[in-house]
Amino acid sequence: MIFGIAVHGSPYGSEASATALRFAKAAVAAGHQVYRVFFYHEGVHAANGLTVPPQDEPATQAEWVELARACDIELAVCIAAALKRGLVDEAEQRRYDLSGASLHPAFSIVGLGQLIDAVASSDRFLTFAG
Amino acid sequence: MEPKRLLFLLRQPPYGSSHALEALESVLVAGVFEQDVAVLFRDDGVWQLASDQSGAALGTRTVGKVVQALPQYEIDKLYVCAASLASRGLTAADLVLPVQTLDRAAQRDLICAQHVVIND
Repeated sequence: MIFGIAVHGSPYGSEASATALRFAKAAVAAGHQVYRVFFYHEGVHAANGLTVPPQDEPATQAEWVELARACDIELAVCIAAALKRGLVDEAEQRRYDLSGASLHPAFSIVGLGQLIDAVASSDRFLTFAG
Repeated sequence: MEPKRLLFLLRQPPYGSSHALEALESVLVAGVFEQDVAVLFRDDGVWQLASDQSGAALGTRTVGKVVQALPQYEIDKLYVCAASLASRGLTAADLVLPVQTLDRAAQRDLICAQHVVIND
């Protein structure tokens, strides 16, 4: 089965990202496919490449990146939600003449249409809200 | 690809965060991408429907105006939780546009009829 996932809650303000990660791992382990993980609302902070998680807390982002690379899962961040929260890749950095890029390279900035594409392209779609 | 029946469950208040406006953006995009979109306002999300609101003092968009524009994007399956309205002292006459009021059983049936539910 093909799953699509949306993450709406912030990585440290809620359990949303960690729960979505555990779900995605379980789905893949059971032989299913994850089409795309779409980060929206406060969920986009999961893509911040300038974070330093404490050693005694889960490194959720590193686990997302590892899972995505191992299983070829797209980690997508809504552009409108990302830009206003300071999550920019190098292209957006240049476009807006900002001092640096913050987006982890394993994540890609996409339009909201990719949320709907994930809904349309998946057999099941799950939202992990805040 | 066949359009999917896609229900947005909007439960967050219109102001206090940008959550409601962002959620409505995704509703509009779903309409543009020609999905079979429905919206159910529940809990504090019913305040998004209140006609007596303005974002001006906060320097933000008036969420009720965005909701009011949904039918222009052919999003006209709009529902509201009867209990959520009643517990906040709101009636159908207080809302920015006509929406269908549903009791719990009807909400359950609505949710069960969808391919996908996106809750906020």
